[in-house]
Amino acid sequence: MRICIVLIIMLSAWLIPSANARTLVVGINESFQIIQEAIREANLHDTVLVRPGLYAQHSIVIDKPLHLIGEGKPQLDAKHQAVELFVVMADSVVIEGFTLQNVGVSFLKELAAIKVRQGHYGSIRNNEIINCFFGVYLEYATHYQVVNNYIVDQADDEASAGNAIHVWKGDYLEITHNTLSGHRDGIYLEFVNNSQIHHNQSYRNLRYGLHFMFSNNDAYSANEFRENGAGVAVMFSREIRMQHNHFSHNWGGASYGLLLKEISDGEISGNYFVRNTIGILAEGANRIIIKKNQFSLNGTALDMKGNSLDNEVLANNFLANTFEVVTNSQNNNNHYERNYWSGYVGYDLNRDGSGDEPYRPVNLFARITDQIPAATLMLHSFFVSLLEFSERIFPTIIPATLTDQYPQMQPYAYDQN
Amino acid sequence: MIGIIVGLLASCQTEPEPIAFGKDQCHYCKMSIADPKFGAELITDKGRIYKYDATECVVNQLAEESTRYQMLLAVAHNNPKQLYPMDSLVFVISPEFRSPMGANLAAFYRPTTQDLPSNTQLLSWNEVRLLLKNRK
Repeated sequence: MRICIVLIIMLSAWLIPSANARTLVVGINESFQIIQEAIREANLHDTVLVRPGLYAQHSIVIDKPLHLIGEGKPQLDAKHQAVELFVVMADSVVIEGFTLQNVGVSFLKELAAIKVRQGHYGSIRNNEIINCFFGVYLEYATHYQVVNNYIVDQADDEASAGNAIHVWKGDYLEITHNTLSGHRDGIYLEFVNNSQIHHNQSYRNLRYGLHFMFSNNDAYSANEFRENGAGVAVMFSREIRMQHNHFSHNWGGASYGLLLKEISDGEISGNYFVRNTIGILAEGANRIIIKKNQFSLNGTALDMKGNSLDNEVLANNFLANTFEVVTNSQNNNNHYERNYWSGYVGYDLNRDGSGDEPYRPVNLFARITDQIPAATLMLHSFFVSLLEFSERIFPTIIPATLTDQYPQMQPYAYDQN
Repeated sequence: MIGIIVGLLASCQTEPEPIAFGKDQCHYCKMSIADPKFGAELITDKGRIYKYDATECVVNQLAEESTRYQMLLAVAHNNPKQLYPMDSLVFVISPEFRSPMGANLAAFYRPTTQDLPSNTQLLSWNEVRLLLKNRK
């Protein structure tokens, strides 16, 4: 009986505030025309509903827990001024259903359509953010969700582009199902830990589709990165899991599908690297497991610099890449096993599924072009074939221990979705 | 005759090259150079040009290998995209300036008080090098 009473009291305590929560409506024929005034009048956890229309209002400060809903995608326009549209300075703020546009460029301030300055347990979802310098900008945010936003810029001067989603110091974030295009980075994370980034589409960004700096224990999966300066850059970070992503059409002198720089203890599995200048460039990458990925039609599939140690390259498909593995060192401190290499021409006389001779994926010409890029001109020439042949008989330049002892005779059935 | 020799000598001096933001790649950290408020350039004795996305990358490069150079330049934060000789710049390390490689280092050409946060300490190029080297 006593438990029952306690339960009833608890339940009613939980129900009462929500019964009291009001909805304040903003619109031409409503009690509020100015969004900021509705926010000022609102109590904690009230809802502010904004009717359809065009609002030339900006610098709207949300300083208490509130639910802001746009009905029929009302438009907020900054008219290319150096101002922000929403500035969040409280916990538990939800912003959804708005069209935010034309936040101006400032070289001194990182202006964003929605800027969160210190906030926890908030959510930004279902918004369209068009032609804004920065889209969503989080500072010191934890337990935040950024979901299903469409953030697109058409910066004519490429260098004046900010990032679509930018996080400076965050923890426990979820960034999912967003479409990001035409910015400097699609998603930029600096000092961000314990976060999940999945099902985003990031394309035609000037620098990277996704960019980690000084971030640990994060995971990104099932994203698509195409036609960016480079697909993803993971730098100075630890324990990043990268699974089931597509990296495609990242072409150009400084382009990679995935750039690894000073990172350790991660996993790269089940990804597709298709038509990139370099599939993965690893510099100072240690103890990373690279398995069950598909590398197709890249200039170089995997460029593993000599300062990368103890990485495991297992059961990947290397299909029709110009160069399979490139390195700048004569030593090899990484392990390659049971990959399928379309360049392998050995036999499998004992029918165990792997070739009888080990395979050396680094060829001489790859080593030469690594040092003299202009030599690419000689690709497929008779002279180079001759060199390759003699190097195979008397190996001197390629790393002697970089071999796959069990090269697969058949590609793994990872494709193709 | 002397004119020709002088002309030849002068041609050994390489002119600085503007950074193509969004296209050039940092020689040290391999990132694409994209933030027009930051960036630097080193011209070697032989006239080869290396570009950087942040001044801290030049510091790191010079700490790792003793590259001989004829000129060092950096982008001024208060005049984006523009390269100035390193000696003509002053530097500020402050969380207000989020430089691409995390050193919070910005370079200024003749800054006004509006450009800078209050109570900032202005550093010379040599002081920056010493400070960052000790931090590592």
